[in-house]
Amino acid sequence: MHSEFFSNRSAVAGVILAAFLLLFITILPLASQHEPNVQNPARKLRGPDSENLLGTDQFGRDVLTRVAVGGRRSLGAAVAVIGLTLGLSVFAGIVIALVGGIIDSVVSRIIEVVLAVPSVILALAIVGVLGVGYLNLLVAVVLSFLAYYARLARGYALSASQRPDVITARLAGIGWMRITGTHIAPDVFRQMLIVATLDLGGVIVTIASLSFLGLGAQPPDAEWGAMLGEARFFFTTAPHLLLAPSFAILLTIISVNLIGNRLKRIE
Amino acid sequence: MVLEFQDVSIDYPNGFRAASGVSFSVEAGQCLAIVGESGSGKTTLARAALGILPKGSRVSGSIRTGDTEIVGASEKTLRRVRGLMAGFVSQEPFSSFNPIARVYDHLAEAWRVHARRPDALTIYGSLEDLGIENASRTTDKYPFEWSGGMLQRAAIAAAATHRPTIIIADEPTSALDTSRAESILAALKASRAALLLISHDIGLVRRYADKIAVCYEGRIVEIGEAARIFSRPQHEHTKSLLHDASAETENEDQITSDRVVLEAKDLRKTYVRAGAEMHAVRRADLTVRSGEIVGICGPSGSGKSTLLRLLATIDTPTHGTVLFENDLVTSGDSRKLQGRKARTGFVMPIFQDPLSSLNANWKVWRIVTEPLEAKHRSEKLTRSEKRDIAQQILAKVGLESLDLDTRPRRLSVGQSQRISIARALIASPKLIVADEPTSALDVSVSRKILGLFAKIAAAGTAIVIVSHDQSMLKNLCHRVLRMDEGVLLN
Amino acid sequence: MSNRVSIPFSDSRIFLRLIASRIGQALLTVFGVSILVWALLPLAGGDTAERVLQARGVENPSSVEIQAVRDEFGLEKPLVVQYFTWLGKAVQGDFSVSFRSRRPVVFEIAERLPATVLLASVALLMSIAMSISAATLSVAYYGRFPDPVVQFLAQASSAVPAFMVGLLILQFLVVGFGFGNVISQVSLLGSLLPAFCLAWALFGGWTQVLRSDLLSAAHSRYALVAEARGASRRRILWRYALPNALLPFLTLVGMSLGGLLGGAAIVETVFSWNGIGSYAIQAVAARDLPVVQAFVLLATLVYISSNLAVDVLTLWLDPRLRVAQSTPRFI
Repeated sequence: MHSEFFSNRSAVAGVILAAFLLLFITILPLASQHEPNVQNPARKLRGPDSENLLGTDQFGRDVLTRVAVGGRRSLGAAVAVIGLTLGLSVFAGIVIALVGGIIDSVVSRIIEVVLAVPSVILALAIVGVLGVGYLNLLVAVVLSFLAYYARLARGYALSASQRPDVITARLAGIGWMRITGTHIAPDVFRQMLIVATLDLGGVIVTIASLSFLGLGAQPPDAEWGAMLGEARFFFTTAPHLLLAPSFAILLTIISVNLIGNRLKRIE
Repeated sequence: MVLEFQDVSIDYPNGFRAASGVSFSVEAGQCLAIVGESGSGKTTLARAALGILPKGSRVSGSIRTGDTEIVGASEKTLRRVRGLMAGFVSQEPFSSFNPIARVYDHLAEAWRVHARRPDALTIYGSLEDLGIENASRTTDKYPFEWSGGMLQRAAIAAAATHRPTIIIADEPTSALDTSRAESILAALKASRAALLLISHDIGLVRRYADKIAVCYEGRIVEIGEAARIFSRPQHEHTKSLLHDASAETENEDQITSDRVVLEAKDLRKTYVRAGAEMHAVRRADLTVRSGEIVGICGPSGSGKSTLLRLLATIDTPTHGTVLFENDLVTSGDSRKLQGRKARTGFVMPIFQDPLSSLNANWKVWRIVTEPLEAKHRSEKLTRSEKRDIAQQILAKVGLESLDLDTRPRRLSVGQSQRISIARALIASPKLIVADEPTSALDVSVSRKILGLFAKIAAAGTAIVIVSHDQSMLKNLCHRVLRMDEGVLLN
Repeated sequence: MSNRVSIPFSDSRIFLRLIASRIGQALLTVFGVSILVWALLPLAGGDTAERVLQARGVENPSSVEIQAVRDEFGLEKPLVVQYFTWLGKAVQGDFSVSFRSRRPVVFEIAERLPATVLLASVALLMSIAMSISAATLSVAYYGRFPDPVVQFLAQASSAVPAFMVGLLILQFLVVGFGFGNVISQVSLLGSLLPAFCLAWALFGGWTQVLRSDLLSAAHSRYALVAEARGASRRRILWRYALPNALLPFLTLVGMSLGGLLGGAAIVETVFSWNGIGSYAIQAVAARDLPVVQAFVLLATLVYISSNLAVDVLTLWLDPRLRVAQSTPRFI
């Protein structure tokens, strides 16, 4: 599996890119002599120079440091959101698929209702209820993805329960609990992990978009979407503010898409 | 001469050599059958005759269809050959028809693609000649509403539309059962065109072919008059093909036991969807004794797979009962299983696709010994005990030299199917049900698998095996039953 | 004929019955969603009456004022009664008043709706045109130029989020070349740039799905048979592959329509386009829940009705869907 994965050049490129980004966001804030939130009114909206390699923002803060620190927040949030969604949905999906009967019908019905609300709209509504804030935004994104994931996991669990190896085990007299643990759950998890990797880019975009609109990370916290949201008010005078966070988002999405597409391909 | 291959070699874009040095010819009105097992390159030859090989394939030599050279011809020239000089009939009829167009449109397309105006009466007439009644009404329906046999006749009518001098038929009967297959070949013969008939079943083409060519690994290993091939085959491969087809009688071995293992009474299975009922199984009664091999044949959609699921208690019947050794297990009255013998490995299944039958992430020894983890078995075995048991059982299915730590993706399909069988045996079942267990395998491998089944039955385990391949069943089984439109005929 | 033909398909009663059942399901879903949307207000926590008063600018409300609001909204009645009261009003288009502007929500929405409808329609037409032409082009020239270009663009669409495309357009086209305005005029011409951003987000996914469906139809056995009968490659693409591939594409388009309103919220904000999307974002930021409720319900109704329309359309176009089918469930 590993050798198969790395036999593809674009998958390798994706991994290298991911490694580079991770290195950048972990090491750079430690090495930088700038603090991400310390303002320097004397050096406002400066372009790139030897002191601030990517220039400064409207408060004179170092953009390079803020992009790295913002990356920790953006990437950490995306991974946490997708991980939580994955865990909850795999558990819920398997339970409702295998319990079946009235519980399956009722929960599936509820899922259908929630899915009738487009996911970005649902996330907006939840932020409206909880109020603006990064944690609230992340909760909203998890909830807005959850129904879709649970339905997917339920479907995978149902089809796994129909697979020849599961039927054979069942006829041999193996209990459902054991079959679930040894055949169904690992299978559902593996398939969902691929879906999640493919969706990671979408999650990053969703969080960044909503942060960009001011619904997520609040000043002075650095976050890629929020940085772009603030920068757009200065883009005629300081276009360099847009470049760094944009590139960071772009490279991240390209990297996870390359990895995700390869995982899907070799499955 | 309506079709002539001279020293034709074909390389696929991936470098695979599908045909090498093939030469043969078909005279007007003659029927040449190319026979061989799957993967021998015979379908490639059919496509090459029409110039419809995958893009990027390289062809050398000369192919003449009618008076046109196919190799290196322009698309325009080729289109004058296709449909006008040479008709084409493909294997699986349902996938050969555009699913969202009516059957009439399929026949009319044969005219429209050559910018000719279709004439409805001619179309209906050509279908009625082939025994399709009420053509004006039935052609208004969609392909999925037709039966496979009827649809294949419509395909023949479309292929013969422009009175081509030759019809190329690529396994035209492989999706049909024997009786329907005969009528399809008769319909092809009735078109009076010369016939290039591609088939894996040498027995079936016997009565229709004038000449037979035997294809093996991309080469024609033997070609000659049909009568001569049957009476005096020369190549080893021809002999083995003939041997497979020769068994016309059922397995004569006596069944010593009269202990009834499985009894199914008046089974029915009906599905309901969108308010409409679908009767998958309408009526089936079956008694199986220990050591007996029972074959069930029938066309696809006849309900034989559903019946097998009912017998194995994978599914519950809508009506009727299934008994294991006189012990009621399922009945139409309840969705639940009953009796002590349900889910104890009493019945074990073998499936069509060996690869999906095995958990891809497990090692062979773990797959094989999984049934030992069953709830009703109280003894707990250690890992090394299990590996020993796995070693013994693998030897029984002819895999003694297989590494116990291999994972399924390193196995061939034949090995995978043996492992499925080993896993079934480890549950010490009284009955094994097998759904098309050899259709994914090539001839030589499937012969060995069938031998294994015979050995297992001789040791006392009953086997119910479902297939569309009647001659294979006749070879193996003590009894062969037919399933038709949901009814099991005795 | 075999047992797969247990019902004569030309019977239009089945068609009508299936449509009736889809409509029934859709209504049931709308009912479920209405509960969800109504629940946003009680779920927000705190004393609803105080929140309403605060939003109206009353800093330290007296108990009399609070009581008045409670009576106005029926806040002391059981939740079930509150829900049905709300639903009764909502059905008539009464979503109460905006916490901020104190104007009826329905007026606020109605003012901005035409701008969003214009933007979304232009975007929809653009992305349909873009993805159908890109996908057919790439299949017609499979493996050569411009197929790789199309594939690259489709990939890029999923890597560059809509708001970044918007920023790029503003930065280069508008500020750089003076093309269009930073604050968009609500007109057909003015909608082109923001609509392109919206369409861009849909373009990649749609093109990839349509391209792969076209490819599998073009490599199907029925396409091979048509070729063997003498059909040209162009005829196979247009008469065989495209009609078959457009069926799943249609479903995809129907499913994306709800998301279009979500995307509109982002794009409208970037382009200062005064539609319901950007209005909803302001409402969310200010927790102006009556507006949020109306917006969510509207977007959901669009989603459900477009899905229903596509369902009926595919049912009409694809004969296979009109037949009874069932999958057995393993016991």
